[in-house]
Amino acid sequence: MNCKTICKWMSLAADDVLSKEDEQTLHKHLEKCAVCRAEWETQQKLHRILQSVPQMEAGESLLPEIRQRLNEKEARLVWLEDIERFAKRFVPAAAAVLLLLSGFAYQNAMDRFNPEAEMEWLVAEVEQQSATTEDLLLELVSDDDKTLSNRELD
Amino acid sequence: MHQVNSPVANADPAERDLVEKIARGDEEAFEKIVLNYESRLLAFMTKVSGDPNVAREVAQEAFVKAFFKADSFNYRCSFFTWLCEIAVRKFFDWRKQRMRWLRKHALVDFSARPDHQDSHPGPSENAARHELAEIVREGIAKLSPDHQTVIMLREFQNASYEEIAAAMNCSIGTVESRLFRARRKLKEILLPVIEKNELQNDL
Repeated sequence: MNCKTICKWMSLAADDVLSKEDEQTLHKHLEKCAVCRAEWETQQKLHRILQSVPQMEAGESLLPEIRQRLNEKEARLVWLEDIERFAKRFVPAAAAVLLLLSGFAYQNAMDRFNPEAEMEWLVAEVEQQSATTEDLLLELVSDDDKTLSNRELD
Repeated sequence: MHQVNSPVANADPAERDLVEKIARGDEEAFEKIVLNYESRLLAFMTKVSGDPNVAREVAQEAFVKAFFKADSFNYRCSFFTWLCEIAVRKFFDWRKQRMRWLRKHALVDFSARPDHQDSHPGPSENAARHELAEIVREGIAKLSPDHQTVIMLREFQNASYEEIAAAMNCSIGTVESRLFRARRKLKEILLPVIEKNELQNDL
């Protein structure tokens, strides 16, 4: 039996859950192995230390405080249940209304968008801009002519 | 390799009946359970926390949680062991909150040593015993939560491996290895401190 397994068995032996046969093997090993014997003694000491932690008096009953806590918690739960019930009833309806409204808004925007009318408007706009540019050019040309003729007169 | 120490403890039909009633919201059954177990749970939690006030606080929370979660009790361990496991988890939460508060306010943890030591110092032997207990608690607090729980349930409550496994929802093999590792770690933490403080002489 190797020392590693023996060390694991020490924990089980301390809790009295090691089989009789394994316990005998453990003790036979301890007789021969000084390292494991020292480990066993340390574990026994640790066990005694943990068992030495003192108990204290329980004091008065917890019942009145627990009753109060239960009432508070139940009141909070009732309040939460109300919210939950409200949410269960109204949230789906609100979501449906929201969906409908966004559907309507989308439809409205699509209705307003007419590609042909948009194109007509664009063409008219471009034509108007061209006409304006043409007028301006003509005006400039006529201004230059006037300036030239005036110079000639001078 | 190991033998079963005791049968699964929750063979008591009266307790089973009470727990089933609690799961249905029966407060009268719950009060019976509180009266049955409060002193044992308080004794266990004072051992765990070292402070009777903290033990009361945590035990109350554990009972209230057990009331609302009784339907999830699996009947594989005694109701009391399950209650202890809940209380230990509640104690971890309490300790975490206290540490957060102390860190936030940049305070030293004066409350680590319970009041009763100062108010009732008693004879020196008793004081040394309380000091040793406090060192043990501080050492246990350095373990992982699962290792702490397993050590507390085994050493302070004397719960069987089967009960610990059921309460912690793990296998008996896991309990064995957790106990082995927890003890090894605890030995490394505690023994140098105890030897340094020369507190082991009486043991």
